[in-house]
Amino acid sequence: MFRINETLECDVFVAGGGIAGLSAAIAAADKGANVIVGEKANTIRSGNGATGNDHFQCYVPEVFGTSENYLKNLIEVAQEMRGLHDMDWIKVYAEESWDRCKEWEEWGIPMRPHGTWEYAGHHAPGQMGVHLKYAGQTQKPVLTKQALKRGVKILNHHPFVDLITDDEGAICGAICLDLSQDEPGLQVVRCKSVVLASGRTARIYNCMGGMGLFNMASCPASGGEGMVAAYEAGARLVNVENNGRGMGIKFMHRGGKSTWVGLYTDIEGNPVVKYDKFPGWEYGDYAADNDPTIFPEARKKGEPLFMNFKNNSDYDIEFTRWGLEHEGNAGTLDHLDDEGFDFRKHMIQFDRHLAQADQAIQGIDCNTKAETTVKGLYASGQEIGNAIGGISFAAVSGNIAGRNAAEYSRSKVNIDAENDPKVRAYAEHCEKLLSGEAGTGAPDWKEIQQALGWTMNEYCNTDGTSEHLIEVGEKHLERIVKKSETVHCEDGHELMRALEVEKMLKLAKLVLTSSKERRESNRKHKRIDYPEADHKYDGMFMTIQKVDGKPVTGLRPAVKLEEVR
Amino acid sequence: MPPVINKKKCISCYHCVDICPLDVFGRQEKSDRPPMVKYPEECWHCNACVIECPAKALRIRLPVQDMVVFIDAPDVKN
Repeated sequence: MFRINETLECDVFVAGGGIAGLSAAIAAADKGANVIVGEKANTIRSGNGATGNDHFQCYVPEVFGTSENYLKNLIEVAQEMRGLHDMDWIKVYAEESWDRCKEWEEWGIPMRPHGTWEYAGHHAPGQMGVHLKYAGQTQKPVLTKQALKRGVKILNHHPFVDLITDDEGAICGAICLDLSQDEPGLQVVRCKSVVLASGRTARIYNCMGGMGLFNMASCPASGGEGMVAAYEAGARLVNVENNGRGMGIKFMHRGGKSTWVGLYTDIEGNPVVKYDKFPGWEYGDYAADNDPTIFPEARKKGEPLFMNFKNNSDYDIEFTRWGLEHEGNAGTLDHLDDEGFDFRKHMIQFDRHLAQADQAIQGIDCNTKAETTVKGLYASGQEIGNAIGGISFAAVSGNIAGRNAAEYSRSKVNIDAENDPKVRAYAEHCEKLLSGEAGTGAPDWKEIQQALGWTMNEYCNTDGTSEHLIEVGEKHLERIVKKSETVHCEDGHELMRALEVEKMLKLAKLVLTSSKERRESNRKHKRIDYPEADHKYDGMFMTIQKVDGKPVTGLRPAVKLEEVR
Repeated sequence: MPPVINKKKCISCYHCVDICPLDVFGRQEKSDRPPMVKYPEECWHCNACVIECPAKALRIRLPVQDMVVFIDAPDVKN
């Protein structure tokens, strides 16, 4: 029988030890809570911030004066802010980002590596930048150390798989796989509250290039576990029908396009935008941030676009190389050096990424205390569906989720979550997935993963979908789900991946349901059968929630900027 | 195979096995042997193993499908 470890107990359980998860763990421990983090890999190098990232959007008083001034510039300049946000969240984010920045600097993360507050990239000459350029390569080891220092118990190689709720539907436990030993097992944690910090999955879509699996801007380790567990526990999700495609280097899909501070030109050296003042390291070329359609529009004319450094200074090139090192792109830089790339002689093709696997769906609906609609359940970082803001948003929202979860847990007691029938069912399920024999024709997790990805790419993509396309996609997905029940896993690693894919199949169903219900087209949702915008959706967010076992969509008003000023 | 282990430099400490965010490496039966690159298709090319390796025995090779596209650059026209 599949091993079930002795139950552990804590006040606050944090699902995922990325930037948001560690920030939540630190904040909850500072409030006196007993905290356990369940981490899929090892918190010193896991998640989107594993080896760094390109910037930390944050308010610094000596640069911006007031946080209102920072907020004003943030909304004007940042491409991320053109997404789907409740503005009360963005206001809190702007205010508290300075506290997180101060803390990070105090703990030894270089927030001003060149001595001054450098706001570089993602803005045009004449604009005030909002993206603080920092050196993030050591952020995960530093945050891990801070969490451990506060007595947080980190369970590395313990991927979170599900939540346990009590008779009233409030959180009372969490289930993880234990992959820290050769033989996998299950770990149940009794807890009073859970902070979900397992990231947003992009893997319901297939990527291209690479081996067709993990060539993505976001860390592909996330399998959408948090979102699906939240939905199953009764939490409301939001904005899941939205999708988009990233931009950057052709074929190699990574974030951080603004670290490349050359100019976008065509093959003959004609710039896409002519600037009076050369942007250089301080601004980068804002053309793609300002208008992401430059790539598809150029393509329609048969024109590839390039990142061209011919007019840049030596410092600009040095700055780009330094930036790549600190944003987790050192692998790309090594590749360029190996291939004989010379910033002075060559230019790199940039394009819209090939699939939407970079900017998939949003997530869990929560208020500015990070409370979801389930008692004791908090969301953070990329798992939040009603605001986005990269690494600094993960730090801010993680901190908020952690301190509120700690507060909530004070009046609660632990109960015997390990006796929930779900635990036994999971153990039996894992046993079954591992029990078959290899070579008997059972599919492996990769087949299911790719079948799911192609189905979503084909029937619900950024170029547009329709009632009939979704109908076919839904039917095909049902058959893939049936096949997924016959998967064979060789070991704990494959078991982890197979469970991820099971979650993603559930998530894909929610995306298809929401996409079918939204009968209009907008910037992030295209319907071939409803090509026009429908004004009933103006200022509204689409939600999806489990009612009587079925996904039910709804609309709720988004919080507007005027309401929070 | 994205991560490439230089077997002459590797000290078989298995730190890469522990820290890889995508669990790409696997243990050998004999623990004095360098680890295996067990699931190369799942590499994210994040360089965590390269940064963390105490013996500097690791490098990342991008798969040919991900190879960056570059050509000679003309002067930028004003």
